[in-house]
Amino acid sequence: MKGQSHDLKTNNLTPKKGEATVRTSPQCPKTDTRNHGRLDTIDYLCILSIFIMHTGSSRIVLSQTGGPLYQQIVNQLKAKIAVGEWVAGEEIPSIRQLAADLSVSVITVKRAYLELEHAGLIVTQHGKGSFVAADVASGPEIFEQELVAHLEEAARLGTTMGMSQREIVSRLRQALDETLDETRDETEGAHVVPKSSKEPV
Amino acid sequence: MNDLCIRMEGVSKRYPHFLLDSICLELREGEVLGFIGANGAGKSTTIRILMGLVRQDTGSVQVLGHPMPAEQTAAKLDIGFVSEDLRLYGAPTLAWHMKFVASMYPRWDQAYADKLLQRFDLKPQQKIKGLSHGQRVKAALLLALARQPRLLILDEPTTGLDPVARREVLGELMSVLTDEGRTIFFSSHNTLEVEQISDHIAFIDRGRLIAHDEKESLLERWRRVRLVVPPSTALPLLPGIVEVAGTERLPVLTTSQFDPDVVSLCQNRGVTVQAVDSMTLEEIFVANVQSRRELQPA
Repeated sequence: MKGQSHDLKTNNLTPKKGEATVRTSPQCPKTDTRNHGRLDTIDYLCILSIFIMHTGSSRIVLSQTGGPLYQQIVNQLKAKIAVGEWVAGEEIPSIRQLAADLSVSVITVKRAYLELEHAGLIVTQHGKGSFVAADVASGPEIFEQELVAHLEEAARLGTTMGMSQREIVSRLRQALDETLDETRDETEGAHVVPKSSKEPV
Repeated sequence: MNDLCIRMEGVSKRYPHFLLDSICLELREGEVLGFIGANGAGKSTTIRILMGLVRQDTGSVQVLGHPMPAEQTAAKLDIGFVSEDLRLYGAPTLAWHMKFVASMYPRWDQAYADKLLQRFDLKPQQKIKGLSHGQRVKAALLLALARQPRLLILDEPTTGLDPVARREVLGELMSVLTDEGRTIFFSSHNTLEVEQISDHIAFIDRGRLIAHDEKESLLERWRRVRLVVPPSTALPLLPGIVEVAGTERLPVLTTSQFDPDVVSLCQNRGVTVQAVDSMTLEEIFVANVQSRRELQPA
């Protein structure tokens, strides 16, 4: 039985065509000594459970700290269409299927699909399923639409908060600086890591 | 679809130190209801009444069209019930239990049961008394799921499970729902998982149902609004305020009826809206319970 379940997991971990490779230690299945056996199983289950999130027809990965679930689904589906992973007219998973794949409620997926429908990215035909809209815009255009929406929202919020046009523009510049700083920090951070890892421990 | 699967109307039950007070609850076919309450709030009493294990003093209960507890035998053919304190026989093996349950329920699906054995990493030849708590819960769920019941009633199914087991169990529950004719009622105090898998949410506290709503609209209506109030300016009256925290100049309002117009409404009164924060289900639950308890001290 033990051997059987190992085989099963090994099979699942073998990357299929087009799937991201999951890095595992090649020794993992072989180490079966009493002391280490338990730890290996836990490691294995963790890898397996991460892997489960990638499987299913959608390959969407949700994060507990990534904001509202429906919003994460909207963003990721939008990105799939924008980069051309899903093309115009292609059938996409049904609401129930995606809910089951992601272990989230039907109502959450329904809300995400409604939003994508309103944005003109997908169409849902009753009894037939959901499809990427036939006249879906190309990637840059989708991001362009999103940018316009965000800018309009920022302008609207600024105005309701009683800011002058100059103030709004300067806040946007400020936000731009902050984003640039963040990217700079990240690149610098990336340089620091290998340096410190060379130091003897 | 959309037939009522559970219908409770004005259900009350009095115990010496506890009153379950006029519970009204509906659940349609194909939906998931997350039932949240503190310890001793009345979750298990409600579930026992739903299962016909306890007779309500007043009110009517219909489960899958059967009045309860009168037609509980007929109803239970189609209900899969798992509770935290469910007891399986200790000495026999899981395989024995599977055979036993299969002999009573004609819709038992052996192929599905075998698949669940693998997914839940259970061994049929193992005796129940040798199983860990998590394995027992998974064994009970397997026995309930493989019968393919139309309604699953689960009393804290994931309490005491490790994170990996919890994910397996939730994943399996959700895959049940690809079939639109099947419905889940489950109680939990893990608000994170309720938030993840429920379509509808009900809060119960001190024997009363204090909220019963679609999850998305519940999450959409509750907000924390951070304000900056200039000196000698009155705090504007906003709809649905359940809590005012923070300081006089920097109040933080919790509202159960948020409306985007609030921002301009405040602006007109000279009050600045610093931020509008969405709330997790846990924060909503706690704020809701606390504000009600303040209004009606025990």
